[in-house]
Amino acid sequence: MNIEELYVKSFGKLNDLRIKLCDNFNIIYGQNESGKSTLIAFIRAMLYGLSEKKNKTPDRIAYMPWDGSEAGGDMVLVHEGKKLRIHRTFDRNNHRKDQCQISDMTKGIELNLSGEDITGLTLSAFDSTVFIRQLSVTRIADENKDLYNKLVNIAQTGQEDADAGNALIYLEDRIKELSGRRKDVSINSVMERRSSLEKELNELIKQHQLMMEDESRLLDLKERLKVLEDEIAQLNEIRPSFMMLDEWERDFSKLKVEIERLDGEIKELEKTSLNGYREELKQKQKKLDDLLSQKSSYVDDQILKRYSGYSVYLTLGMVLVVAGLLATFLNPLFLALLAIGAVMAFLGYNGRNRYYQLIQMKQQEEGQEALAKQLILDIDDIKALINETETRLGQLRFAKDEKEQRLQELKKRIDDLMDSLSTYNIESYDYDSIISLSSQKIEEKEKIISQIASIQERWKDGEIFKKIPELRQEINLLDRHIEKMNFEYRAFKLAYDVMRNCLEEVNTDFTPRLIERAGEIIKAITGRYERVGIDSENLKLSVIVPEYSVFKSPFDLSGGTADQIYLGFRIALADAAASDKNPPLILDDALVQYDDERLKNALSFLVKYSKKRQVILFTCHRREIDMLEDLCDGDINIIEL
Amino acid sequence: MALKIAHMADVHLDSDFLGLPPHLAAVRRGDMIKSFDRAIDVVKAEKADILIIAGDLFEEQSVLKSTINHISSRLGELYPVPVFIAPGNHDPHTHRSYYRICDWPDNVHIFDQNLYRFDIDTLNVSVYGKGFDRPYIKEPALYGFKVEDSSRINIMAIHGDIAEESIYNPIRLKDIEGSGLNYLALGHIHTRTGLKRTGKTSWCYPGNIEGRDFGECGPRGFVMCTLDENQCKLDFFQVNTREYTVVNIDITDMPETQEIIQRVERYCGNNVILRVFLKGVVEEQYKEGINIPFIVDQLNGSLKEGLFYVDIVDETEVDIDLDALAKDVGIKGLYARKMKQILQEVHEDEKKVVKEALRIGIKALGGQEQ
Repeated sequence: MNIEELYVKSFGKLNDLRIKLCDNFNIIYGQNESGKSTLIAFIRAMLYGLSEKKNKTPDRIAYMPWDGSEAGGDMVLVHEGKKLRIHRTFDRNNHRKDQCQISDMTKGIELNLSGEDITGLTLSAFDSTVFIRQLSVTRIADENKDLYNKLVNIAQTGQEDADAGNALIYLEDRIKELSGRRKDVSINSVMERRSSLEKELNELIKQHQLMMEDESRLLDLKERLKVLEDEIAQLNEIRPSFMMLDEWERDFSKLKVEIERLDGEIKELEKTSLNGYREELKQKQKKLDDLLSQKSSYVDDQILKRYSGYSVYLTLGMVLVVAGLLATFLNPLFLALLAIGAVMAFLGYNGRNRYYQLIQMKQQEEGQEALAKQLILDIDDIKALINETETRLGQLRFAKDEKEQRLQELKKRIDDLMDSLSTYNIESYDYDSIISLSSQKIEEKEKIISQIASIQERWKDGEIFKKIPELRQEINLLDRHIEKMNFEYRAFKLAYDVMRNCLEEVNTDFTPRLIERAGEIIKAITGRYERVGIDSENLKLSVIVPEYSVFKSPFDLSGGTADQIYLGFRIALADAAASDKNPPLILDDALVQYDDERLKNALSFLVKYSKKRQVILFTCHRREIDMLEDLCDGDINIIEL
Repeated sequence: MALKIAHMADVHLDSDFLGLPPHLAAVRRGDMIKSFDRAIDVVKAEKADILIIAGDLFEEQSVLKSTINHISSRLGELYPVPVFIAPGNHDPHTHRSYYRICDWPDNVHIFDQNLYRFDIDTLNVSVYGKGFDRPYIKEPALYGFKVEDSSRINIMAIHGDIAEESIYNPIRLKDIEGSGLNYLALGHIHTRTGLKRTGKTSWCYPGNIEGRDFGECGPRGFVMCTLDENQCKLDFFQVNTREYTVVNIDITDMPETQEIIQRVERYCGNNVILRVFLKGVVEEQYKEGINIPFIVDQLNGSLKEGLFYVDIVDETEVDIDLDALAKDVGIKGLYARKMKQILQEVHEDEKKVVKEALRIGIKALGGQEQ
């Protein structure tokens, strides 16, 4: 495309200004404050309109006509062989009220086209390629470092304001930060914090569960305690009865023993003593009776006297026998004496025997009499004994009866008490087991009381569970934070990967061609530096300086040289970017820093360049015009504002 | 004579309040109890005949004994008005539940897992109910249920999901239809449904009495159901202590910080828990400049005047004309083209990440982070 004519109806300080441009080289000269910048803005506005952003109105405000009229104008251009007119008006406040008509001038029809369609460039691409502003150049001149950065950027990314190296570092730093271990910054550290909180939370929840279980146990314990207390009270209540029962039972058995003893004694008395006495009495009586019935023979004392002399006969007889015997030896006549002695001894012997018999009979009689007397005495004794024993027996029987009665009474009392105790549910009626049961229960009760106390002590600080919601809330906040960080991480990772990818692609495809082309232009402008190189390792841009045959960084070069290199790159970029639409190259005071020699080189390059692409150079210096007039014999379009 | 049934549910005492910082947990815990107290006061003042609490009265995992003692005594104050509690999935009636452990007042009846009927002869009412005894129940709760004496007023308290299938006590509409109940007092869904009718049965979820997170905005409370022969009327009583509010504020016009503050302040009512989403399309630099901690700090004045909490989330998008950018020369253009390509290829869920990556990449290339 080429711009043929500009008609500023009203724009900023300009109004009713018509400028015709040629297809090749145009130079527009105007002193400061002459409206040069306004005219550049007008060209931009004609092509792309004014900013649409609601909040950003400086352009709109700056370029509204000072007299208050409506801003607007026309641009005539050749687009794909057709002559087009762009007519625009700009509202003071609202971009929606702006008007734009693009029409085919030969056919007289309105076309549905945008500035982008015509230039083949977006506004941003337009700004960064074919539109080389004064601002960019002067700022570069002020700060070489900035310029250097821009050059590196262009060489690397094709965009002076896009710093791929820094971009990558920025992205990578953040990725490292997020995936690293630094506290509170990295995802890991936040996750760790989260998991430690979760652990704490789970522990507390477990504690709470334990507490609930304990509370539940407490309920059971308290119920058990109540039962125990009732049981103990009951045991206490019945204990005296059991004590009495026990005593009674002891009395009972004691009585029983006594009764048995009495019974034994009675039986003993009856069986052995009394019966024995009676038997003895019977025998003695019988003996006495016998004795009394036997008393028949009686020895008279007279008779006895008669027989008392017979023992003398015996003695005499014996003596005669002995004397007869002895005398026989002397005289057998003495035999007669012997015979007389024998008869005499015989008679004496018989008489004496009879005497003795009578004496014996007399003695016997006297003995029997004594015996009978003794027997009667004995019988009396035995009778007394029997009497005595019977009295004793009577006493014993009375005692036994009395004790038996007491036993019956006791038995009844025991039975009654047992009856009354049977209403209590007691397994054993043994006093000792009741006592041991009672002490068992008391022991259990004390154990339960201490268990209850220990549970209550354990959970007396129920308030610790207030922390559960707090922890949950904190974890939730961390979750949100982690989610955000993960999101950020993924975005940064994607950005980084794509960016690397882009950089590689740009470096293999785009920049080598750009650098080559820039080298050609730079050589043409400077006549010295022929090649531009880029050190891909250190992201350093260098130019070859033939005199020294070394690579030099533009940083080490003079401001003017750096400017030239910059211009070379920008034009190379414009060539690379510009499509088949071939929009004009617009330079805004881009050559101010140049010395005469270089200016001449640059201008002659541009004049030559303008054969391929329309060039519009804005300047506030006359020397450019002078130099151009020398250079081109008037084959250029000079416009003065 | 009309029967007045106060019906509340999902109180979730001593639960957490997700979305708020931990230090506010204690205050909110107190708020919840205040709201509950207010509800009991209203039940008293309105002279309700019956109070039904349809589950999730407290948070089993974190409830304090002091809270249980408090609600127990408050419910006891209603004597002789009977209170029916049908435990829910958050407060199941287990062996170690406070429902069993605690000594509840005589007028409080707590249902366990078995369907049970209480008759209140003076009111000619039968109250059925059934509770959770574990956190999940899949069997349809009212399967085959039919009221025993249709000459009485039959109501039921139960916690569950109106659904064909659910892990939270599914209650099927066809079972409601066949139940013969006059009123079904439900709990589980935290948003009030208003009065619903299936067959001859009226039913309702009263919602919770106090919002618990930013998903539970607006007024909260309980309902009073007035039943007579053939009518069922429902009144709502708001008892919440604070109110969650979520607003979107569009800042596409990129106002000054003070202006943002003023816009937020419009929503800073008394006792409001506010979450603000900043929406709209802004420029990168503007987005970078949005200082949320500063804004929150400035709003502290409002906090003093009664606003409880404010949370501001920047959800603005950066104005990136991807199509224009894609036509750019050099790396930005290339980056934009690649991102555009990715954006077209990825799943809908991933688009946010890609957009963010696009923004970050362009920002990084802009060299603003030098």
